[in-house]
Amino acid sequence: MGKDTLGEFELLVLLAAIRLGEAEAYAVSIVDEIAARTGRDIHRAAVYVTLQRLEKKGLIATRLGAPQPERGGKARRLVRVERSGREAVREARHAFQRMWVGLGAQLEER
Amino acid sequence: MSAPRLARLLVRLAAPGDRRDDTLGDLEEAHRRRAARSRPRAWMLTMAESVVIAAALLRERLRDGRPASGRWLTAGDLRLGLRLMVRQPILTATAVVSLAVGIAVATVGFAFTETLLFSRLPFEGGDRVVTIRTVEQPSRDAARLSAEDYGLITRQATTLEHLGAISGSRENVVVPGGAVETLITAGLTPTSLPYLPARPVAGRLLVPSDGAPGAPPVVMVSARFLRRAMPDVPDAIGRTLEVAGLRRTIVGVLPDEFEFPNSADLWTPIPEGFRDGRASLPGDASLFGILAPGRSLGAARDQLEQLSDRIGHPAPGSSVRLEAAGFTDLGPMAIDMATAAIVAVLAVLLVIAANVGNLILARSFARQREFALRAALGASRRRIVGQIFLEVLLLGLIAAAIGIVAGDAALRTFNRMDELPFWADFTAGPRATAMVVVATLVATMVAGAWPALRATRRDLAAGLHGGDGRASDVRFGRAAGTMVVVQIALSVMLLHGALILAQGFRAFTEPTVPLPRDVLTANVNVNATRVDAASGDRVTVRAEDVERIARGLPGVRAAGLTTALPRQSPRPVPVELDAAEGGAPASRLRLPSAEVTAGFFDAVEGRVLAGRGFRPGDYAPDAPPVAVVNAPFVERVLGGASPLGRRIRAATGDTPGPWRTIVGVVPDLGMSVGDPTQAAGYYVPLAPETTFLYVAMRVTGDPLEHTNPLRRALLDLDPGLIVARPERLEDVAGDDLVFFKWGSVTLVGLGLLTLGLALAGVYAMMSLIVARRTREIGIRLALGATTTRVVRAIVGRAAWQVGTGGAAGCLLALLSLGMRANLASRLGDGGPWTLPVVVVLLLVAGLAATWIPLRRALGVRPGDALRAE
Repeated sequence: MGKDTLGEFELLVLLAAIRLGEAEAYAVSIVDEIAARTGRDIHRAAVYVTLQRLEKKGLIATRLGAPQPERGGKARRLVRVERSGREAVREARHAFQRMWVGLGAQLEER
Repeated sequence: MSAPRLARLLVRLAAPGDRRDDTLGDLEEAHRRRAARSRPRAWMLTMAESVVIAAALLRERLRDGRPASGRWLTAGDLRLGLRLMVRQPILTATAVVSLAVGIAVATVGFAFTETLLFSRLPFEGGDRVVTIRTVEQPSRDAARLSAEDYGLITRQATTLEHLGAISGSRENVVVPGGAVETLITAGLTPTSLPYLPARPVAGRLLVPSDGAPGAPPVVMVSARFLRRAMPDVPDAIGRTLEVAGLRRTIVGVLPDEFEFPNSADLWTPIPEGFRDGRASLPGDASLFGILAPGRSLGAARDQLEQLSDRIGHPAPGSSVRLEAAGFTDLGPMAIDMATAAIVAVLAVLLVIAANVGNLILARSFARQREFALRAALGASRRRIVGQIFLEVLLLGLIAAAIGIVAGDAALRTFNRMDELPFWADFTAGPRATAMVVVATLVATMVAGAWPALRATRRDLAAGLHGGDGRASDVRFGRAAGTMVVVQIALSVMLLHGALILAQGFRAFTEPTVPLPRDVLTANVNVNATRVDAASGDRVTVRAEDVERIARGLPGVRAAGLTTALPRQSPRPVPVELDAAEGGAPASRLRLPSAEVTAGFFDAVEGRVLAGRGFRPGDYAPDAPPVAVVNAPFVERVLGGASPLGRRIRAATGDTPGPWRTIVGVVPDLGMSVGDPTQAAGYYVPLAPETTFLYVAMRVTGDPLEHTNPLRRALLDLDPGLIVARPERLEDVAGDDLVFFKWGSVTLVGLGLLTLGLALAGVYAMMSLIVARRTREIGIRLALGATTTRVVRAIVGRAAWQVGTGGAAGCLLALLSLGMRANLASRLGDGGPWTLPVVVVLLLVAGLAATWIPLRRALGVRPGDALRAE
């Protein structure tokens, strides 16, 4: 995907991160969120790779939370969606909506 | 509950440095959530997940131009490597399986070493526990100290916060219901308990007054023992158990996890009077200490060494030294064993890596045009070397994953063995894992870097000119050809040995000697910790008493004692046979023998064939020495002549035993099973007093049902008599069976693997020759050469290698037969067909290895071949 456009999975990850909020969005919870809402079997490896790419594009920023005993004393890498990330999500939604216009009849099942 | 170590390692290696911790945290969290539902499933899923995560993260790093293994590699190289692996499945499988075997061996070897050298007691403060041995010099026997000496050590050893005593033993315990069990027991000074993780689940811990003279006898038991022996008793506290003839009240129950100083089920108090010099320690107890905070083992050693000069000397010319060691230190023996293990592991790994390198070298020569093209397009030699190295690294990574999992499985099996010390945990810890990673990298270096450097050594551009390829053939031939020959030779020898062992195993399992099925056998021994208070000697038991008691039990039709049961194959020792009157000369032989009582032959239905068996009179102190030989002795040693009246004596050491007159002949009672050449042997009367013997009882009904009555009756004779390993006569020496089984399977596997690797070398070489001589073959065929001549030209070298290696292997196999008698006397020579079978196997496999390249060579069309260059 180019720097300015979002792939479908990138969009899902961004949406999940926005839903969860900065305090709760990290790889494991993002996987759970996407799986719960879409019913898809998401692999965490894909989420790591996507988060790295989104961060490089400047759409998200990450920081380490506090160490947690149930994680073997390791911290979570919490995700914050940046202003540009929210903008990209809005842009994707508009693009989808524009592409959707007038297709209702053609997508009806026969 | 934590994520598997291997999974953590994979993720740790693949994740970028700044993301490592949180990615590991995610892995841990996801694993714990899964484990809460199903632990075995969680293990599998987390392992699989870690592989996917590691692959994805590595791929991403390569995409970013930040490769994990060097800046001169790209994602393109990785893709090419993966494609080659898929396109050459035989080579990939051979290399991966070989390296995986090496890495599995390395995992086991390094975990073994780590356990031997770096184990600690598995509880907080466990590294402060030290054992203190009192050693008499120069004999190095365990010395007994006086009460004053113990008082002195307690007062002066300031490097120790606490000085206690421990003992370990096996004792007869009469459990409620009347059954007698032989249990692992421990003695412990009650004041030591606060330093140990002993938290009773019921009742209380032992207290110092429990060990005071005249105190009522008490015992702590394990929860595990209660569940097994007293499942119907709701509250065991206050109940009594008879331990080694003494009735003790249960005062506390310890959890299953508590193990110290051994894996005991019962703990009894050791009196603490030795601390202030009022009393000596019981004979079976030894000292241990807890290091004072901030004091090292070395400081304690030095202090105890100084104290040694101040304690009593037992006899002129001798002295007693106090020696401190970590509780889990196994001494110099452990270092020797660990060194041997590491050397063996590295040798196996390097041989395997060299083999894989051989394969890669062959493939690299075959790809020289590709390399030349890349060089012409601007790739540096370093880049091409890196490409080959990366391909092998990929093979190594897959092999490492398989090898570590296989090694881990082997270690789990090993950990289930009962005989291991409680603190021994044979799993790959951080040191072992690090060593495995290093060993894998070294193996990969050998298997990848060496062929890569060799294959790219000459001017790569020459590859584009076509060349005649002969120079490369020769370069490949010398080192690799020698290696192939040596490997074929070794694999033939190994396979031959393995087949003999497998035959030995079969012979061992087949009942060659008919023995009765209604005989109970058991080992009867005097508790090793029991010593005579006055003399310090081990307490013995009268054989006559044991035999009388066994014979008198209900349902017992005959009973006898021996030092070696049928199928136990006592070790042959040198014996002398004197000359027959006017006949055969004297001779020296190596024969197995056993001591037996008069009732033994009857107990195992050994009918006397000639002369007589032993009589009670033969056991009198002044009776003339006699012996009874078996039927194989008469056949093999005397050629069928009567042995009666001949004399025989043991000739071990400087003083030979007394001459014994042969008075009878009994059938073959399984003196040696599996090796007919060792079946000839003889019997002598059992010594009247002993500490270790076997009882054989011919009974009515199920033999094992007579175990408890035997234990009870012997308990009445002496509470310290331990009845161990009760089993039917037909099950005797079952451990040997397992050894033979696994030994033969492992050896056959190793032999086949070596042969497979050697033949893979033949295949690689043949492929290379065909690839590089396509043009020549085409010209030959065009000029009218017959197929036979072409075959001879192509196959000649492979045939030479297989032939030379095979012949050398046969020679080695025959030579090793000579050493066999010393190493494993029970094995036969495998019969005349074993070696031919190996040779036929070698020829068939050799033919298969040459067939594919050969078919390719014969399929060359002259026109195509000429156009190709």
